[in-house]
Amino acid sequence: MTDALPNFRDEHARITAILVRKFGPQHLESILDATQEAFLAALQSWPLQGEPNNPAAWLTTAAERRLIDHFRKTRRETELPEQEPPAPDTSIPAEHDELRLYFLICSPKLKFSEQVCLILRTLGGLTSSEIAHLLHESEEAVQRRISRAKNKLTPHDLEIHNPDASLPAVLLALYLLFTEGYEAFRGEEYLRAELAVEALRLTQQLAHLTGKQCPDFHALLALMHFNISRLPARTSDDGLPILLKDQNKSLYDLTHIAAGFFHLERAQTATELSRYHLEAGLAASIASGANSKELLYWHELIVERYPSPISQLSHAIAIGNHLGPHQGIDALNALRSNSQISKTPHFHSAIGHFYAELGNRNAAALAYKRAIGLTMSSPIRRSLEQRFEELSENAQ
Amino acid sequence: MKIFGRNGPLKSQPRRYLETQIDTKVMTKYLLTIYNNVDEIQQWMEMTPEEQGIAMQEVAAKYRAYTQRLIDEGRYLASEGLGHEGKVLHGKTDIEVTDGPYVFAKEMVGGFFYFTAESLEEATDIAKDCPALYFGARVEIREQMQYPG
Repeated sequence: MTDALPNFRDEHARITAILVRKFGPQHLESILDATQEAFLAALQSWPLQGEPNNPAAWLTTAAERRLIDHFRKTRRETELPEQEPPAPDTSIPAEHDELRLYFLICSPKLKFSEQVCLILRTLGGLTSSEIAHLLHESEEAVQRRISRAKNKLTPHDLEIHNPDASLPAVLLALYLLFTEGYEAFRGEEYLRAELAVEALRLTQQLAHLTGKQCPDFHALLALMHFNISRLPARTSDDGLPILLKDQNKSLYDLTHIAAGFFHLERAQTATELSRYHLEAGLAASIASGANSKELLYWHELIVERYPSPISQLSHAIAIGNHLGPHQGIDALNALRSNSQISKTPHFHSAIGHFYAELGNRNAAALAYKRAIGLTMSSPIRRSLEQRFEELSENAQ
Repeated sequence: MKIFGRNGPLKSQPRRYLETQIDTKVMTKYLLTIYNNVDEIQQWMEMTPEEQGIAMQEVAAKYRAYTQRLIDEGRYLASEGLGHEGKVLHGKTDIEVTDGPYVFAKEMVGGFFYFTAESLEEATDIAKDCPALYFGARVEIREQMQYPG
């Protein structure tokens, strides 16, 4: 019996990759179910029987057995997966099973958004609601898209068609995976550092693998390194988020900052600035302790080209941080009619923050309360509650 | 007799010690059955693999500690976890077999511990520490039937 259990997220991706390679992506749904059942079996037997000597192999075998059972039960006409062993393709070495899958999923049959969702759900191990949150869409829309994408895939899609054409979808999926790791949307932890680091690892592998030194790749790597460099300073000892202005900058990881600049340099060859370039520029400024004016400049560039709800919100906050709380509140209020923005807890906590700076405790308290009601992340909730309590303490 | 290996003295020694202990204290065997709540299982199925991994760490650690305690106290006999697949059989002559056991159940047997204790009271106290309770399951403790002589 060992104390170390395998990392379930890695195992999930690894087992899915193995089984998809063996049986074909058209069975993705059954494969995901089988993998899930194998995990449940582990939960029910390991504690009572002791962990197996090789947990990873145990899980793989259990999942494969369940999948074959499932095939036996649902066997129809000639559709026996064993009869049509897919020709192994060698464009990406077998030890990178997981990455190969990223490209397998990027079949030209699928739309760009279908590719991205399917990667995040199956390989990223994110739930539909997490994906919906990342893409600012409804959960139902994401679920529909994923099942439509699964239905479109057939055994012939097992080939990796054109890695270059698939690259944008793979990069976006890795970026979103990283984003979810960087600030978890719900749950017990403010951030899922492991997930962010895992996204970085996959991106690095991918850069080696494709051999393509495309500037977007470097920009994405730079942005990941810069943001990861700040992870040690982003949470307090009890796991609560720390605001940028209160972060202890001496905790920033210099190795990651250096790696960030290394990749930023190599990203310069781009003829067009991608979203990753701009966000890497912003992250570089934050990591090197730039002032609020410089940060506002980056947010302006980003919001101009990529006016997503989150970039509009960040831009409004940057206005307040640089020009003052009044301007911040005005900028935020201008976004209120966009429900994708005004429904987020961040919107209300920002308003609360600026009102608190102005000394308007009632308005601040009201905004914090709304934010507390909206957040699904318990560390963010606790941190907001702390700020709410500080308001009333200061009032006495 | 082989000196090393399955029947060697090294392995049989602790076993004999364990039996002596049972004999002197007049230990009775108890079966602790774990009834898992089906809703809890459902909840677990809806987690992401990462969350499952975190939950699993906790479950495994608690069970490991509990099993170790039973072993250290010399009362551990066996423990097993049961899979989901199963059949239910009934009928005296025309035996009907249905998929089971969980189709309509609110809870299902997830596994058991088999251990020794001096009395039902002691066994119940030991059962109170069973991690299954902490994870929302119901546990049942039953004494092995005693025969005179």
